[in-house]
Amino acid sequence: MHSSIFYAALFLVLMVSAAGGQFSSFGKNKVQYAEFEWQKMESEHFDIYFFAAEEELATYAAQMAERHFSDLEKKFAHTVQRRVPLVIYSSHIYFEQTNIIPNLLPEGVAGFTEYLKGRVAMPLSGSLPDFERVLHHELVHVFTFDRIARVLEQHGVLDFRPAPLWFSEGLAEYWSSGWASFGDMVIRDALFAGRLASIAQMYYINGTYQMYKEGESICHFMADRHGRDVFEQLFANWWRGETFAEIFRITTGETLETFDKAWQYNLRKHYLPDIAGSDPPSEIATARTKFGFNVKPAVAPGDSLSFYHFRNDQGYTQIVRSQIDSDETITVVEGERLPVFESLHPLSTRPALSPDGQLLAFAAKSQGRDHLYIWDIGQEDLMRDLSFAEIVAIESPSFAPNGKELVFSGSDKGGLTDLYVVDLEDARPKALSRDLYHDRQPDWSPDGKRIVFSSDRWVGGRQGRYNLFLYDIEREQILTLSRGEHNDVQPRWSDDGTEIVFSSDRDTMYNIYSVRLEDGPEGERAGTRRLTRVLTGAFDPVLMPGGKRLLFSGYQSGGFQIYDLDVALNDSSAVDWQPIEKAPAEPWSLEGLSSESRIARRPYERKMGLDIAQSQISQDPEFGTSGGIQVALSDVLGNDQYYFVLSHIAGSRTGFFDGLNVALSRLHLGQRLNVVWGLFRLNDRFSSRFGRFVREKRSGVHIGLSYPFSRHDRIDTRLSLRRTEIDRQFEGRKLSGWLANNFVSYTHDSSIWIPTGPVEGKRYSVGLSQAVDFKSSRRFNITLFGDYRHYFRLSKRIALAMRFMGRRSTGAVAEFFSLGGSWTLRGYPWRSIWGSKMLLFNQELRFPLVDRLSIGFPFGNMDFSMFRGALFLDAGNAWNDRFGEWNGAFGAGIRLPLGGVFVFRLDGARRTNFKSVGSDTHWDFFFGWDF
Amino acid sequence: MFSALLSKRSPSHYTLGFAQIARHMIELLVYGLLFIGCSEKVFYLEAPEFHGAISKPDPEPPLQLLWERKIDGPPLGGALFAGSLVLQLTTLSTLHAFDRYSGLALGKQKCGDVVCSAGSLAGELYLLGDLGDKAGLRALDRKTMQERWRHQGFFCLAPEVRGDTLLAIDEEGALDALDRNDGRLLWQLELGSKVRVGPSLSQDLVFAGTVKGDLIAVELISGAERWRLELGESSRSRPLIAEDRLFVSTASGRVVAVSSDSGRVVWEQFLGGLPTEGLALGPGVLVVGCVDRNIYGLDPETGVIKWTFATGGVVRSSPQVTSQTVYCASSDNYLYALELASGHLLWKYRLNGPILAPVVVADGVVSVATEERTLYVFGHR
Repeated sequence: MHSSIFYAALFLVLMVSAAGGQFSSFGKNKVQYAEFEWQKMESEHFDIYFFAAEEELATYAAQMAERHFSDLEKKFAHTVQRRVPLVIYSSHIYFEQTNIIPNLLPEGVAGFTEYLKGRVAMPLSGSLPDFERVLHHELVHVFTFDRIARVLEQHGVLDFRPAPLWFSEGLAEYWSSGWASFGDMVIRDALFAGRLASIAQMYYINGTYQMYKEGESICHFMADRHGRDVFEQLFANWWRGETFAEIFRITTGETLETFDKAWQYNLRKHYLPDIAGSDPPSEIATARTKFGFNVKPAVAPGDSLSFYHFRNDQGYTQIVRSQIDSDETITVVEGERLPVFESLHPLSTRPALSPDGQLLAFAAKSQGRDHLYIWDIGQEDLMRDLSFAEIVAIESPSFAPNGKELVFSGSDKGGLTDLYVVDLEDARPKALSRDLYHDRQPDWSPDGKRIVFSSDRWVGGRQGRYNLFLYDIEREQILTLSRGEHNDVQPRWSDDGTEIVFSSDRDTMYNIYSVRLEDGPEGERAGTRRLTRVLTGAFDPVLMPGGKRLLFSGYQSGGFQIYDLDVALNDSSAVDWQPIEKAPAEPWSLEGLSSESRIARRPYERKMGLDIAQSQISQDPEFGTSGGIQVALSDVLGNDQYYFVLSHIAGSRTGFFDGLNVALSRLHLGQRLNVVWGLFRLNDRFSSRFGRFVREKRSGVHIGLSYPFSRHDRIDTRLSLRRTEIDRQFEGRKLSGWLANNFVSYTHDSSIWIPTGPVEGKRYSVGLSQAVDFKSSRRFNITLFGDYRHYFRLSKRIALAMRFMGRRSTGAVAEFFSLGGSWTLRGYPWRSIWGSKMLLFNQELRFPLVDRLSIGFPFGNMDFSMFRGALFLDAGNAWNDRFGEWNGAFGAGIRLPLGGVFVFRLDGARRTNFKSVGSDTHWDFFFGWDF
Repeated sequence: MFSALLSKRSPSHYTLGFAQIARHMIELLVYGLLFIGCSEKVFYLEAPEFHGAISKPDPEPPLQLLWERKIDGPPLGGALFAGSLVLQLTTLSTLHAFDRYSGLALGKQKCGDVVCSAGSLAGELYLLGDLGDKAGLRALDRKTMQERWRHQGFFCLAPEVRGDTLLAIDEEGALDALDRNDGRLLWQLELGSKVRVGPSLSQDLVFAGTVKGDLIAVELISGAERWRLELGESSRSRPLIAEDRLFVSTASGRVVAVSSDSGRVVWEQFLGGLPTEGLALGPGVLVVGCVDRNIYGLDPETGVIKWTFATGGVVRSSPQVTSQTVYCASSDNYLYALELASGHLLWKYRLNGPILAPVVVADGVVSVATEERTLYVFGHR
């Protein structure tokens, strides 16, 4: 048994966990595809970190941040006294590189606030009003945290009492934006599908979009019921209760349970009448997809029998071709497993078919930027891979009728999103517009003369609302197609070019509309008509050839499927006619937003700030007392990190210096090649991994390099030089020497996880290491290792996991490997089988057991979710000279995620040598993820 | 001897000589050792007859810092001036006592488990709300600091006193009239909603505002409701009474002047957010602080904003006025003196932290305490 301090130091030296998976055995990589020259801008309350291309965005961010700071001062009746670091990225692709937090950021994350240094980091997603809304949202978190901390400090309360996630996110939504159609959509669907989580059950939907919207709805109701200053009062009373429920009761005089019921009743009263005038998608249309998440249908001209769309039913997004009248589906493009299609962006972009139906165009992320891919459907192969130096993000390509040009929405390095046209022959994009408006979802008309698109280039766009526009190619002119305080999005031409179908929330819920273009008495006009009355949202419309059937993505029961609906476009009832006019050149601008904030610019200085400082004292009955401190420092951007551990074994009989453990590591993560180096002096007594008593002193230096090729693949190497003295008392010998250790490994990880462990994909690592006495140049050992794991999803919730692992060490002082225990060979004692060679095979069927379990205690209920079961078969052996026989085991187990790495695992196994089966059941208990 | 020393009140005692200070300290030490025998010093509060009387001329800017002293926590309410004592309660339930002239720390004492209201003096009583095991309004003997009586409830809003009647609001929404001498309940009125601000007293009426938005006038003698005005949103300032009208403010920043006889709205004015809990009225100007960082001077007759003074931070500290000057403070760490008539800045002083507690003007000095646990007293030497 190691002392814990020693273990921490050893961990730092050998296994410092960098962002993503670098410097650890598995894990995906956070790749620094682009390197930035960071600068700093100072406003009254903010330090804004930006790079040169986004200076305009940074200035805007500074102004908006100050405006919202002032707004939140009023709402919280509180001010944040410290300066707030705000790190901005002009694109989500750049944002995903951030080292401020080690986690890999999914595309759905629009920004975050971390609490060690109070930093806010966020990207521009194309829409400046949306950027402003997210900024406002994150600043609510800054204020919430600061206000709670201040109140607790004022009243001498030492333990921090965080707000429940549903409340902090709900309040951030409530105070950063008005209630929007998506909120109605999610809440209404949850109500009708019986999926609404009460406040008491909110942990079932923790962290989901539904939780955000339910939290926002609760905050609206709280303000209506108890006054808009109820939040200010809740925070003022934060010190008076240990739980949110208690604080709420003290503040409002009402129990949270009573409030919860009232909120749900209010929702029913508000939303249930809606069903009288509208229906869920499944009631009005035929579902053409059934499993998983299916969106963005695309239809080839002349093909009324099939459609292409994004599908994600097992963790990875694919582009598939589905038949209209059967369940037959063909996978066309497999995304998100390889570097070439790292992300298909199913939420923000859509695929397009060429006029002849032979080519499929789509945007996907690869190597740190979006590429425009042209896929040859007949050849089932990639025909063109286009990427553009100035364009970072690409969305929604659409073919011209000649099939040789494409229009798409692209974002440049500064974050501005405009329409571009590219000729496939010369592959040079030409911008149709160059301004701050968010032009997106273009679709080229069948006659080739116009492009319809959705944009915020109108007065209401300043509030983040989108209308439809036409780009006249010949006159290079933008025309206004739709008007109103609502969102008109995802326009698509009919194949005869007379109609455009689109999705709009003009009646509070997103539904499908069509707009007909025709010449009227006073010029060209557009007549809009509603095509659907869907209760819970209809999106991505596309007309089938002939224009009598419509495909759309419908939201129902928390998911999206593609529906097929008969429509009558020539129905002239309830048509709203509006003229088509030239759009104003500059409907709104940023200049008008200037505040009087004093803004100063400075070069970025890598000042180190404290992340974690903690002390630790451990008692061990065998080894006595040890104690120490651990300190982590990093710069604002998290690109440079220091870890320092100092400890001393108080019970040591040796002198003070002998008992001292020191380790210092530094990580450089700001470049693609990640570097770690450090010094260490470790001295401890511990039981070896084979249960024998060992003393060991090590002093030396180490350096490691990690080069990620992509999110999934990397190569690692490390070299350490050290003086080692090992007292292996169980062998009756002492070893000492100057050792050089080095290894090189290649690692792949494309696995998809649920809270208990991986369920799909694969990961593997192969490598070679050696230890050399560098005084005598004598090699102590050389070790070859390999570890291959493959996960097959048998259904949405059942997976088969397989692992093959082998190690072999040769040399004068060979390494030993062990088997036994929950993580390797179940049914055998922990590390009971060992040798210099090792083979291990595991197979495990992973399946759900109990989704929700509530256990009643006198003090209240404890709720657990996602109990899972496992059936397994293991076989392995470790040996020195003679293999002996296989050790096998089979059995069953349960898994219960308790949060993070704490997954409770209990396995019961029977041993077998594959000739007979043992009669005893052996139990293994462990906390950790599945292999 | 000790109490005699502390109650000594002489106009000439603006400064104390070294010998006097040394003598005070020795006496305090001896007193503490003899009678308390613990680390906390004890003190008597000043005799009742000196409470609240502003006997000195108004302090006019520029002021001098007379003294500053550390306290053990952020302030809970403003300082109380009791003769030669300055008393400051903190959020850690400690009552600090200082010599009003020298700032000499005379002692500190825990005066409850979880004190939640600013302390107030009422005759021989020191009143405070406590949320400890037996939550209630506690009346402590000013001389012994022993509890005389306790009235059960959640009284985190400082009470008002008229003669022997004490008006206290339970934050759950009950207005209680108590006998000051023994805490006996004289009458109780359910206000129908939670309450976030304390009551005010005119000659014969008690005024209270609720979270639900009602402003209620109650007869002092009987507890009968005289009138009720629906403001529509939470009342967030203690009603300020001036002759025939009272001024209140609401959560969104609405300041309302109401006829105290009928409950009729005379005028209303909208400010930029939550106002300070205390409003201040000087000759021709109603002064209100606001979370929008501004101090506003309103015409009390019409509600028209006469002037606005922008501070650098959120204003939570209730302002005070003299005949010519507004004293106000902000979370920008400054104490300001403004000309009452125009709002022009006359003087400002940077303190060591944000100021949320009310500014107090009493006995010729101005006092304010910061969130950095420091009490300041300004005046003229």
